[in-house]
Amino acid sequence: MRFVLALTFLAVTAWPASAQEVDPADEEMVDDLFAEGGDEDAEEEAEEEPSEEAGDEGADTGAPEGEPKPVTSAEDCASCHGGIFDARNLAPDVHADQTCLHCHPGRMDPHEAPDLPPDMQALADRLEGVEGMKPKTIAACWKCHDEEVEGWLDSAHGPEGMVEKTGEAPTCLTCHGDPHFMPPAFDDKREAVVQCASCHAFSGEEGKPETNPYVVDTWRDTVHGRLLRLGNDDAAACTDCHGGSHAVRSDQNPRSSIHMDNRAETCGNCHEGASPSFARAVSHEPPKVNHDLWAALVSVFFSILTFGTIGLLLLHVGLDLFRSLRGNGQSHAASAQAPVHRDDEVKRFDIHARMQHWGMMISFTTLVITGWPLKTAAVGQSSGLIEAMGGPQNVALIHRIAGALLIAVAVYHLAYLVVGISQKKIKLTMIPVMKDARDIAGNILYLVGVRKERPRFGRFTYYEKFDYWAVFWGMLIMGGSGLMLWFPVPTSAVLPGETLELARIAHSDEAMLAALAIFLWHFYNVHLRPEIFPMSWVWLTGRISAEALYEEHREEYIARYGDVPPAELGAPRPWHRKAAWSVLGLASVLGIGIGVALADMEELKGSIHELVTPPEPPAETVTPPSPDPPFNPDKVTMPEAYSVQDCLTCHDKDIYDTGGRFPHFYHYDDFFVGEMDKPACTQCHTVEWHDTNAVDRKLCLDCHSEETVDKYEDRPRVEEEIETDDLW
Amino acid sequence: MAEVKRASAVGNGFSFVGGVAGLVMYLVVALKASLMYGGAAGVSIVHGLGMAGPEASIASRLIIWIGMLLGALATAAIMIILGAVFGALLYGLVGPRKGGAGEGS
Repeated sequence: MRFVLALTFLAVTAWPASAQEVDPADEEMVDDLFAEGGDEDAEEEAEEEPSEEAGDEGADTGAPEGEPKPVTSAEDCASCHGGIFDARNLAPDVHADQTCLHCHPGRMDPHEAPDLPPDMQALADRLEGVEGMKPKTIAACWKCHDEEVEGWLDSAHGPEGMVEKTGEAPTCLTCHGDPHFMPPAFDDKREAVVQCASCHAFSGEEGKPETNPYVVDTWRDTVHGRLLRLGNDDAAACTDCHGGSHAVRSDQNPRSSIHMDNRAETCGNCHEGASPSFARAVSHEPPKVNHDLWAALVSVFFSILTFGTIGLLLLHVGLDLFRSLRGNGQSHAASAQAPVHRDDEVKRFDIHARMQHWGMMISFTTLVITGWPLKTAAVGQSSGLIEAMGGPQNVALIHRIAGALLIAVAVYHLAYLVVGISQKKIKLTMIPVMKDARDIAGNILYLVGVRKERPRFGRFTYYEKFDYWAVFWGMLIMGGSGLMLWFPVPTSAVLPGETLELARIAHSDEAMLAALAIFLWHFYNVHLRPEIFPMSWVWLTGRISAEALYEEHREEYIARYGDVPPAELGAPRPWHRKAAWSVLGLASVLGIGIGVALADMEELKGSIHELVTPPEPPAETVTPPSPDPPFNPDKVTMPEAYSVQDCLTCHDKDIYDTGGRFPHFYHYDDFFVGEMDKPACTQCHTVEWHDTNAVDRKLCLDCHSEETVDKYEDRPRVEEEIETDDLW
Repeated sequence: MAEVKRASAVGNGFSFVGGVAGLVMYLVVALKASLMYGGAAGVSIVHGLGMAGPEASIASRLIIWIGMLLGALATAAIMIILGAVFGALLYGLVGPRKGGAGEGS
């Protein structure tokens, strides 16, 4: 009788208890109900003949299952979906202040389809049947993010766009992650770029869109990609040009921000006054002969020019260095009638020339230092260098100021020439003449040892003329292209927008050529040669030593002093003028550089490899980063069950008496008669959440003899399946 | 006859020390970065010439390595010269005045 009462009591109280937190009072009530002791007879009967009694008992109880309790609060949801609540506590969730019912309305019956509001239902109906869609999920997003969802609906990513082409479309969850522990949306453009690249950098692969596979690489090479990489958050990324994050439409769509008719307006968001011509400056196609012939030709031209020019210059430098170290083998007889001493100095450059050189040196060096990180934005040190110089905006300002200074120096020099020539103070000695060609041949023969004397150079040697006219060439290219890039909108109003890309290529490649030519060729000729090292003073003082004048500008020396060598020409040099120092410096640089390269080969190779093949974006969609470890439902555990009611939150109470299934029925009343100190369920089952492993036979042996276990082992077992998918 | 002045060995010493200081600074601070930048220049040349990547072409690897070497040399040169310039400027500020051997000849 007590047993029936217990069952009846549980039938009335246990099921509602499954929909809410366990009330310890219930447990105590049950305990109190049987506190006087158990019905031993009933126990024995149940133990000996469990099947018949159980079946009869079960049939007799007929406990109503009862209607599921309507879900009206988060607590109602937690009774079955407690793991989600735990997960939301583990990871940051942008919807943390929202309850379950906010996104899951209409859940009066938790196991039936939700009864959505009409507006949400309309959206869900619209998406019903579309492959890969979760209509109700998107409807829930739409409830608060209607602008974004509606923008997505007819976008290239939406059901009416992409699904038709690829059979599936990215949804809200594709980019934003699981709705239950969703980090805040991308607040860094770089993260958004990675997200876009997770599909668009793998175009053509399975599950990826059939779009231009170069979009990411080409954007990365543009000034936009470089600036963003260097820390300029104003630089345009994917979402800036393609209609934001959600309303991304195909360029064929007249409403698209990148439609040919709309591009100027899109560019004008940042570049005021942009014209359709300006909009043609940007392309996601790499320069190829069959796509952009001029860009390809310009790129190849400057590469050949740089490679060839620097190669020849370095060859000349190498020959000159080794010839200088060998010495010319000439001996000069001391002459009592030498007009000057070898260290005496004569004036060579006036103050205007020196000021122009100062301006050129400062502006050129500043331009190289501020511009090189932008050219090599892929190199890790570039962003640090930019930060050290004050950030990308400040560096851009400094670069433009230095460029303006360079143009001012050029204007100063032209005015200086005009005035000087008109006043006959300046002769056109810098103009290349046929003698220079003979001097080149003669000097090469001298450097290789065929001739014993250098050619007799005039006021300017052929390599000084090369330096001068190379700067002229560089000024035209760098100044012209620099102004075009500085004022792209006015430029595109006069020239086709595609010329901006040509200007970018020319500016970038010529900068490299100019930097290498100056730092290697010019610096060697005027400072690093063994006869001159560590530095020539001519550019500071405007005066040149008689020895240098005699050796390098013999015709001018003769014109001044006659063909008599300076006094003490050929005498031993002071310690700091010995060639060994320049050799030591050069050898140390080369040696250390090679040593580092060889010692750190793998890292350097890896770094160079990254330059050649930038790191690929992840193939899988990237969920916005979360500072906490990702939720692992397997790690979530329910609190230790204190009573059978906890287990009944998910497991039907009938599990204990349905058809007398072994071994539950036999242990069921043990709980009520106090024979077992701990709750029956956890005696054999672990508290791991959703542990579906069968109870090991060894557990039975903890309490029962092997003989008893063998006796009941073949009895029909408990069979129950719980659908866990819906819980997540 | 053009004016002749006797040069100063002390000034050359200042610029020499400055140049050595520039070289040391380069080795300590900028060596690895210069190798990377030179390599980037080499990569730029390889791309511009439409050549295959370094894994596939020994010519590409050679160009990139040359770029690394040139980057190291160029950066070393500029830092040596800057150091020498600073030394010369320092000499101009604090060094003894020239004219120990008299002016003119």
